[in-house]
Amino acid sequence: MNHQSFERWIYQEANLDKDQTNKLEEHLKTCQACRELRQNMKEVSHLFTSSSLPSPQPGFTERWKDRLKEREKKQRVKFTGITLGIIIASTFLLISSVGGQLPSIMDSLPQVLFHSVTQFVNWLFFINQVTRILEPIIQVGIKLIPPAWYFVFAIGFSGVLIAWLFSISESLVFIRRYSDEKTQ
Amino acid sequence: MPKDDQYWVARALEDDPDAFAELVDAYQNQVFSVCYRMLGSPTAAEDAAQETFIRAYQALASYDQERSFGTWILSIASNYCIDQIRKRKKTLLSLDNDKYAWLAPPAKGPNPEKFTLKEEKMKQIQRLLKTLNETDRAAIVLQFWHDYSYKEIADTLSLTESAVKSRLYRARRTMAEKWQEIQENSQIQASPHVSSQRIAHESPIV
Repeated sequence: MNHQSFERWIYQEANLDKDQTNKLEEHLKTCQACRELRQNMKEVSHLFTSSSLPSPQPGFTERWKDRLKEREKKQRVKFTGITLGIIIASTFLLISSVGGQLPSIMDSLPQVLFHSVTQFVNWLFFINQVTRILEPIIQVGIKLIPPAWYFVFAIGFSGVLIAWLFSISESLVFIRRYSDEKTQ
Repeated sequence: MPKDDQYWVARALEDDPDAFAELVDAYQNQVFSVCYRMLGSPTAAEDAAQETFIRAYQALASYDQERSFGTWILSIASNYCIDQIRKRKKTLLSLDNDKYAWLAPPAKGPNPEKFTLKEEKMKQIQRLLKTLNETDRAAIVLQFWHDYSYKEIADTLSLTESAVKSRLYRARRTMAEKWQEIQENSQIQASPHVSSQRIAHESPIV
């Protein structure tokens, strides 16, 4: 066995079997460098294992609770900010795209009105045609769908609408509360 | 996993922050000690331990209840501290410039006798740990102070068992070498004649 193998054994002494331990002991009798290495390793191990575990200052859990509240508040503000940012950006885009068309609309208002009325009539005609085609299909569908499903659709749609209104109102309440806290 | 932990985890998963506070109470010492050994300062350790519990609370839904809560929380703590050390290395390189400053004797304050044996021991430990890279340091901390097996260290640090073995071997060797340096340095300081001879030899006058 070479010297390096014994060095390796010294660093992992706790995991050696009996035969390896005996071989190491034999080697240590003749090798000064390994004896010093083992002594150093023992001193380091003793230094580590004899030291007590440090503990935090009293009130750690209370401080954690305060920090958690603060963090959650920041995250809510961030989320609300992002949501509002998206809403404002999309509104701005919509208004600017419509606003960009306004001057040309104003220049030829009678033509635009005439064109709009023509388009509207065309649409009514188109819808009338589509309704005629779809009417028999819808009637068959109505016969096939059980009446209870209409209630399910109505309830589902109402639920989505309520959730949407609720989330908007909550956002507004939160923004008002946050701005109140900031002004205080 | 102790039954109590399972109970509090289940309660915390039902959006009860007070239940998680029980886990914070139970594991704060373990988490703080890992952070302290890794980062070397009580202020940084407090901050890291608090952050560990916040991250754990927010990621509780992804916690595998088959796994020990202690191992899981120490895994978060170790990885958080490893990240912090890496960030420090990027921003505070000046701290590491004086790599061997810790080998010098402590500066003489107004009351040098106030250095208790315990404080000196703590400093020596931190000096030795500071010589290791962040992942090796985490492996050593988990092995020495938390009695983790190779497999547990591997799970905690997302390494293979053989990687853990070789990291621990390298870390022990580095620490033994540094310990040797400390001993030699203290002997040189004890005998000023030898010290002045060595200085004259090592730093020629330009």
